[in-house]
Amino acid sequence: MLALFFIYGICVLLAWFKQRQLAIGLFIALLVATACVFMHHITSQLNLQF
Amino acid sequence: MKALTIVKSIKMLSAIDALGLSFILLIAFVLQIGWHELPCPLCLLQRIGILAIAFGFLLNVQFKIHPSHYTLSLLAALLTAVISARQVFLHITPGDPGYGSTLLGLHLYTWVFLLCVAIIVYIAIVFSISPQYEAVRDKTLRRSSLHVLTHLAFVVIFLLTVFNGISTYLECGFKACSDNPVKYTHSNGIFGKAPRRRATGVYTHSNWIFGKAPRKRATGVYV
Repeated sequence: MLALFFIYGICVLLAWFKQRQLAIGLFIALLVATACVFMHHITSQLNLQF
Repeated sequence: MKALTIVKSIKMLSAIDALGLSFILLIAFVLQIGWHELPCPLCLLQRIGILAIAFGFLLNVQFKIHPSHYTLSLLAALLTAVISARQVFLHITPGDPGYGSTLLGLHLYTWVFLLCVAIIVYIAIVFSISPQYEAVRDKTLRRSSLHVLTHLAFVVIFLLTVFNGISTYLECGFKACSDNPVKYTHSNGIFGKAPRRRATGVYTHSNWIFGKAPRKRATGVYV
């Protein structure tokens, strides 16, 4: 989780210093990593019945 | 001239959007520090999601407005909506108190879900204003108050990212975060005090929902 904030911080810095392509590339990697961490945390069963 | 006005307005709006999203994160931070409410892993993921939504707006402010910037914000909003919906479903059963305190009768994750839906609708509307994509060369874009607002948005978002990173480190360290956190695992080293209270158990989401107490005592929690 800490790594996600770290990567996001780098993305913001890259965008701030006008490195658009790098920032967007890293940001897409961040989105994928966030989705992976999310998948890791949704293993508990939902208490739903229909 | 008309295109220039639209570009200026959209850039200004994007800066305000980014600052507005950072204000929401600030509220979450105040609740965390003032009310001692530790964010769960899904809550932290939603914080990252909100920051990610703001990133597309930051790109619009800093560079020429481009549809791909809106796409990044849209993807982030979709991901955050899925994460918050998952947390809503975790606490949807009758009698479940939910996670954390409420704000105006709704939990923060419910607010995040509503916010994401609103942002998706908002981007769908703003996305369609075609003059904003025209190439505009004007020196006033760099000299105006927009220039100050751009740097302010970047500073605020970056500082929020740093503070959230520090808070995440204090809560989880470099490991995966506990599903239902009750204390900061790394605050001992910072504040110099070891907690005397023994941890009675680390609840997972499912245990908490089904009302089962964990059989095994957590012994190795403090770092």
